[in-house]
Amino acid sequence: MKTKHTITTQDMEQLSALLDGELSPANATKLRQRMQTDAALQDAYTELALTQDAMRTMPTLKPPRSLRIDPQRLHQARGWRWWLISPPGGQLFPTLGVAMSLCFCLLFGAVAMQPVETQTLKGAVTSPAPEAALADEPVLIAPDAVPLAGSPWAWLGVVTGVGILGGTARWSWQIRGRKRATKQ
Amino acid sequence: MVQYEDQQLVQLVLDGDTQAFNDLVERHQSRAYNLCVRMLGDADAAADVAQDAFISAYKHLPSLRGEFRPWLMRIVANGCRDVLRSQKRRPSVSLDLERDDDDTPAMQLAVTGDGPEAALMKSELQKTIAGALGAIPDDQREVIILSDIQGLSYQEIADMTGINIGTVKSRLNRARSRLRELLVAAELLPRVRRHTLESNT
Repeated sequence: MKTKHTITTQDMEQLSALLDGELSPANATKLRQRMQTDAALQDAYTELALTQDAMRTMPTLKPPRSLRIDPQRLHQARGWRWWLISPPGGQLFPTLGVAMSLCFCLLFGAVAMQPVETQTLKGAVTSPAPEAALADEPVLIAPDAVPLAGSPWAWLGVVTGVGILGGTARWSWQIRGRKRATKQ
Repeated sequence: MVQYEDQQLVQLVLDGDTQAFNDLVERHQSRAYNLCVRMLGDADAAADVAQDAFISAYKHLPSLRGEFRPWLMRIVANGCRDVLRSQKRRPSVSLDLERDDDDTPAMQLAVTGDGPEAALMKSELQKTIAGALGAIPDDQREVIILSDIQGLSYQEIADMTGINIGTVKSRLNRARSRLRELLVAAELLPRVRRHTLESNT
């Protein structure tokens, strides 16, 4: 004989999940067993099922107008992401980017690799040490005059350059790949 | 005519084919519009929001990772939420879509049934549901529309709305319970039950 018990929110959530087939098999079996002995649970399940059936009678409405978009409007909607995947001039920008970042790397690399001993200038400083220049001896440039030589800044420049080089090379490769895919 | 998959069309769009994007619009406009119209209850506003969502989808298409449809529907749902938020600040639009106005799309129903009485009952039921949908909170309405009208799974709803499955479950339960109360109050649920029993025999 069926008895009526109070239904908790958790019970209702489980009934709802059972209705959608989203309850685990073990929990579904347990709940079905409870429904066999609990009339309130069974009624609640039936009403939920009927509510869902009612929802499913809702018709699919047709849009009042076509939602197609004018190509001109689409073109205007393009943002920077579009520029990245299809830059104007095709490979021009990525190629320039690769070339510039390569120069960047070489420049900073050359400075960073320079031995400290050679970071001097013969006779470059005329004042305040003219006697030293006359003696034809290398003049050490003040530390603040050669901030890049062998300093962490030069290495940072190299690392940044390599990063930019990698990024632009990858960008160029992606555009090339997309073009190849389109041709196929 | 060649039928392309969504992903193929997306690739064509990314290669500069705008017509391919309109093919995607044609394919998904009904689903997008129906979500908007059930969320907002206003046919014109729904069409505008759906179209804006398509434009936004086009704008962000290069950043698409994964499937197109759930991604698009997420944009559509976000658009609806934005409109509902602004409506709350300036409450002026009724959510009762199925009002007694023959020009509303809700009245363009393909009423099928065994006779005029069944059609009338169905129409009454649909009006009540539309009214009831307007009476439940936005977050619950979104989940019940996605589940019961659009037929999405809990996982798909969670992915689309950015909430976890537990929250989907509880929102859906609250929405159904509220809807059930409103249908019972309108004396439509017992009639639906009798109708179902009759149709089963």
